[in-house]
Amino acid sequence: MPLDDAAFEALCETLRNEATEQVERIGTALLLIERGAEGSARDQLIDEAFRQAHNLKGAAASLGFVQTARLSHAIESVLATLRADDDTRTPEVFDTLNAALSTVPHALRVDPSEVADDVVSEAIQALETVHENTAQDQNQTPNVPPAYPVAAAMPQVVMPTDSITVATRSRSPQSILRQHKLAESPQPQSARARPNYVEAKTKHSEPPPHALTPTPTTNPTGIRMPAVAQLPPPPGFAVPATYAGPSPILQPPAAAAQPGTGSGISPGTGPGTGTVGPNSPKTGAPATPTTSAPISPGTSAGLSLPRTISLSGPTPGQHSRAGGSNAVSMPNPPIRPSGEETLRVSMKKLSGLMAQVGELLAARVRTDQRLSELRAVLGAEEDRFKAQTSLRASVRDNAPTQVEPWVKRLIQTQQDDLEQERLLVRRLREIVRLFEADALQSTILSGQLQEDIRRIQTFPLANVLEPLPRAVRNMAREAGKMVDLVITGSELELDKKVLEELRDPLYHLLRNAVDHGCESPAIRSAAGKPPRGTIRIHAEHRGDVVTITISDDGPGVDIAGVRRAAVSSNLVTSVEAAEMPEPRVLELLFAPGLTTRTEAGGLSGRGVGLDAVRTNIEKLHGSVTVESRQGIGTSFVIVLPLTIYVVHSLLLRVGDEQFAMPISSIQRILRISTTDILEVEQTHAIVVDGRPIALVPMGTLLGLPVEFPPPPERIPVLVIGIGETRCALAVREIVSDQTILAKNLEAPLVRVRNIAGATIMGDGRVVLMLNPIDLIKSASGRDAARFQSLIPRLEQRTNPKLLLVDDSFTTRALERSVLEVAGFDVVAVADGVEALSALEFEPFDVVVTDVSMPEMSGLELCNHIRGNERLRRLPVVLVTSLSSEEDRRAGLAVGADAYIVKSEFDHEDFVRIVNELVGRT
Amino acid sequence: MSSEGESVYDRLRKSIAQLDAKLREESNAERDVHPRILTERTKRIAKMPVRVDRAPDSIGCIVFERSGRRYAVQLESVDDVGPLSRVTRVPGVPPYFLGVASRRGRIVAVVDLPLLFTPDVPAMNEPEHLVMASNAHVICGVAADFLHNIIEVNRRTIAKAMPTFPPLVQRHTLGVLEDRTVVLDLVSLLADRALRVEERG
Repeated sequence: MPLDDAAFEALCETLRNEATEQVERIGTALLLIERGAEGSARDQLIDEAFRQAHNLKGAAASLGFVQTARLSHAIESVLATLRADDDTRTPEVFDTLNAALSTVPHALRVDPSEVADDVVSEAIQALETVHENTAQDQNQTPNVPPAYPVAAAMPQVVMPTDSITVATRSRSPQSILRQHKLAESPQPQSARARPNYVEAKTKHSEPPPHALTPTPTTNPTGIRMPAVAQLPPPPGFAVPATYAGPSPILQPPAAAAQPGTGSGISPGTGPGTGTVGPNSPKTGAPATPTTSAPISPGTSAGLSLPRTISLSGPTPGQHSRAGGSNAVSMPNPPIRPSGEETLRVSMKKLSGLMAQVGELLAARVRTDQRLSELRAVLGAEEDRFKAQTSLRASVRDNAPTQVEPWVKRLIQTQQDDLEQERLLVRRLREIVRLFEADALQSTILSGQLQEDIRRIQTFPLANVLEPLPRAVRNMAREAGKMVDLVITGSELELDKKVLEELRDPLYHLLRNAVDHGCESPAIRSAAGKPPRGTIRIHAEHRGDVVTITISDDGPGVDIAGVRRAAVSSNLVTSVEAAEMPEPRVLELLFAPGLTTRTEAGGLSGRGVGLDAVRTNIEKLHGSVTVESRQGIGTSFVIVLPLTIYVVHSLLLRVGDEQFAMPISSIQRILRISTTDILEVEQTHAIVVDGRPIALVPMGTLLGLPVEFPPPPERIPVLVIGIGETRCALAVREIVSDQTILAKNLEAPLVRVRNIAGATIMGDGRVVLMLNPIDLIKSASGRDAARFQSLIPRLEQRTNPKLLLVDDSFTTRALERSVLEVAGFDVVAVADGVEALSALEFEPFDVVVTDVSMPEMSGLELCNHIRGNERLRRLPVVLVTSLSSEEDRRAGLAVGADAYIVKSEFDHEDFVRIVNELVGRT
Repeated sequence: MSSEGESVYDRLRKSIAQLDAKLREESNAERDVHPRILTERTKRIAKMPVRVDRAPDSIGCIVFERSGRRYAVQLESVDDVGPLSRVTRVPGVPPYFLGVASRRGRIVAVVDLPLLFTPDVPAMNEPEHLVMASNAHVICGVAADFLHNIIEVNRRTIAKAMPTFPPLVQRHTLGVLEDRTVVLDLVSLLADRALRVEERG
C-alpha cells in the first residue's frame, strides 16, 4: 500500500531524527577508537559504529534517501577496513570519516533525491580513496561487512529530537568501553555473575527484550518497510532471511544472536543480547549470556554519557594507541527498573499541553483572587448584618409600645430582611468554605499536573553533551592543539526547550575554549603546563537552577587585549577602557562585535559568539558570566532554570510598580533600618555576613521614584550576586512570593536592560520580571554614581554615631537602649574583631566597649584604635565588670578615655561621660 | 414619639427606600430578554457583511485619534482593534513606548505615535484603545484615545507627506488627508529597526 504524503513525511522525519543519533554514536565510537581503545573493546566499538552506519544505510535506502544511503554505505566500507587492520588507525582515516559524518545532515537535507549531490559525492569520493588505499596497504582480501542478522539484531534508535519516547536496545559507545574497563579490572565473583555492563540511567527505556517476545520495529506507523538493501550490500554481506520477509516485527533477540559468517565479529555483541563478555572470541562464536541474573540490555537512549567521562582529542602528528591516561571513569549507575511501556508523543502536542497547564496556572491565580474578593464580600455582608442587627435591637428597645400599623409592617419587613441577611451570610460562609476547599484541591492537582508534565519534558543534559567530545576533537585537530574534554554532571535533567537552546551556546563556548583557552602544545610546555589542554564541563544542580561551568586551563583572558578591542570597536573610549575595573572588562566580552582576534579564524574571531551566547541564555531566563585568572584559565558559568515556563518569584513593589524577581537569584532577604547603612568611598553599603556590600535603591536602577516604608518600619532589601560580586537592592515593599508563568517580551522590545521578561497576572496585569545580572551591572561603576543624589535621604542623621562592643546580648540591649534614648546612633557588634571591621568602613564618634570578649578583648581593641593613624583620636569608653585597680590601670594604660565598672553602672553618669567625649553637654 | 425614636424610624425608612431602589435596579438588570429580541440580535450579528467594491485606487483605512491627532492605517495592516487594558510601564525604554500590555496571552509593546513622531509633545491622557499590528518578527500595539470610522480613501486624494514633517513621519506615512488625518504606513513602521530596543551588555 503506498504511503500517503503525511505518513511519508512522518517517516522521513523519523529517519532524520534517528540519523542524528546514529551519526553521534558513530562519531563517539570513532573518537574512542582513535584515542586508543584496544582489543575486544576496539572491535566492539567498530561493530557499534558499523551497526549504526548499516542501520542508517538501510533506513535511508528504504525511504529513497539515495544520497544518505550512498554516503552511509561508503562510511560502512571504511569502517570495515578499519576493523580488519589496526594499522589503518591513522588520523587521516578518522578525519575522512568525521568529515563524512558531518556531511550526513546535508545528505539528509537534499534527500529524498536520486540526483547525485556534489557535496555528498565529494565525501564519498574521499571515503573511497581511503578505502582503496587501506585495502591496497592491507594487500589482502577486502574486508567485508559482517553478515549481520540485520533487522533482528538492530533495533532502531529514536533520538528525542522531535518526540519524547526513546526506545532502544543498542549500546552506547561509552558503555562498550566502560564494560571493557570494568572487565579488565578484577571483579568479585558476584559481580561477574551480573550483566557485564550497566547503562547509565536514562529517562526512557523499553523493557528488556524477552527471548521469546517479538520486539516491534520502531516504525511508528507500522507500515511495512521495503527491503533494506536497495543498494547492493557490501561484498560478503549477507542479509539474513529473518529480515527478508515483509514482517514489520523484528525477530526475537535469540535470532539476533546467530553467529556471523566468518566476519570475525562476535555476533554476541549484537544489541539484541547486550551481554557480551569481555572474553568473547572474535571468531564468531556466540557469546553466551549469563542466566543467573537478568540480562541487562542497553536500555540507554544512546545518551549514556557516564557521570564522569574524559575524552580527549587526538594528538596531532602522532597517534597514541595506548589506552590513554584519560580513562573513562564512572560509578555503576543503578539499573533502571524495566517494564514500563512507552508511547511516542510529538513535542508539539506536549508543548501545547504545557501551554495549557500554564493557562491553568493563570486561571488558578485568578481563582485565588476571586476567592479573596468573595471573602471581602462575605466580610462586608457580615458587617452589614451586624449593623442591621444592631439597628434592629435599637428599634426593638426604643420603639413605643403602641405603634401605627404601617410601622408594625415596617418593623416586620425589617425583621424579614434581617432574617434573609442572616441566611445570606450563612450561605456565603458555606460557599467560601467550599470554594476554599476546591481551590486548595485545584492548587494541589494543578501543581502535580504541572510538575508531571515538566518532568516529561526534561531530559538528561547528556543529550546535548554527548556530541561534544567529537566536536572538540575536530576543533582541536583543526587548530593543531591537544585538548581533553572532561564532562561531569551530564545526568542532570533539564527542560527539553532549555536543552535545545543550550546546544549552540555550548558549541560557541567550546570553540572559544579551544581557540582562546588552550595554547598550542609548545607554548603550554614552555609555560610548564602539560602539553594537553583540558576543558571541563561541569553541571550541578542548585535549588531551582542548574549551573553549567565551562572552564579551561589556558592563559586566561587577555585583559589588555580586550581593552584595546573595546576601544577599537568604539564600545568605550580609551580613558574609560583604561579606568575600567577587570570584572567590567570581562563583561565587555559579551558585547556585540567585540573580538580580540585581528582576523576571523575557523573557530572564532568574528565577534558574534559570546554576544549570541548571552542572548540565547537570556531567552531561557538564564545568565552567563565569565571569570578569568591570568595563567590559570577562564570559566564561563551558565545558570539556567530547570524549566523555562514556570518561575518561582518574589513580587516586589518599586515606586508604584510591581516587579517579579526570580527567587533563585536572591541570596538573602533582609529588613534594614537607616542606621544599618554605612558610607564607604562615597557609596553606601550594609554589612551582610560580616562583609559590607553595596546598597542601592532598586528604584534608582530602574529610573523609578525611590520610596521606602516610613520609619520605624524597616526597609526591605534583596541581596543578589554574581560570583563574588554582590549587591543589596532596597525596595519599597515585598508583596508576596508567587509561581509565575514566564513570557518573553516581543520585538520591538528585543532586549530591555534590567528586564528578563514578563508575566500576566490573574487580573490581566502585566508584571515585568527583573534581570538580576543586569541590575548588578547597572549598580556598578558609573551607573551607581548616577544615583548618589537619591540616596542621602537615607542617611539624614545628625546624631553622633556610637560603636557599641559587647559580647553579651543583654548588656548590648541595655546600653543600646540607654544610648539611643540619649540621642546616639548606635551600631552594636559582638567583639573587637567585628568592631575593627565596622571602624574600617564607617566613621564613628565614640566607641563603648566591654573588656572581656572572645576573639579580641576591649583592651586589644583600644590598643588597635590607638595604633591606627586614622582612629587614634577616637574616644573609647571601657564598660566592664573588672573592677580591680589593676584592671582599671590596664584600661587607662591602653588609652581608654573612660573606665566604667558595670557594678557601679549609673545610666546618667554613663550618658554624661559619653556625651562629654563627643563634645555634647 | 420622641425625637430619638423619629430619628431611628427616619433611618429605617431610608434604609427601606434604599433597599427598594436596589431591588428595582437589580430587577431591571436581570430582566429576561425576550427571545424575539435575541433572535433579531443574532440575525443582525450573524448577517453577511456587505461587500463593498472598492474603486481601483482606493484603500480601506481605520481612523483613530491620539492626543488630538488623527491617524489612519490601512485595514490590511491591522490585526485587530480593541480596548486597552492597563499598560505596564517598562523602565529604560524610549518614552514613545508607553509600556507593555497583554494581548491574547502575549506581551506586546504599546507605542504612542505622537510621542514617537514629536518627542517633546507630552501625552494628554491615558489611551483607551489599541490598534494591533504585526509582521513575521514584530508585534506591536498603537495607542488610541478614540476610534473613528472606517473610510475608503482614494490614493489620489492623499497629499504627500509635507517636507516640514519630522523625518520619521515622512518615512512611515503614505501622506495626509484634507482633514489633517495622517495616513500611516504601519508595515514600514514595524519594519523600522531603528525603533527596536535591543540593549546589549
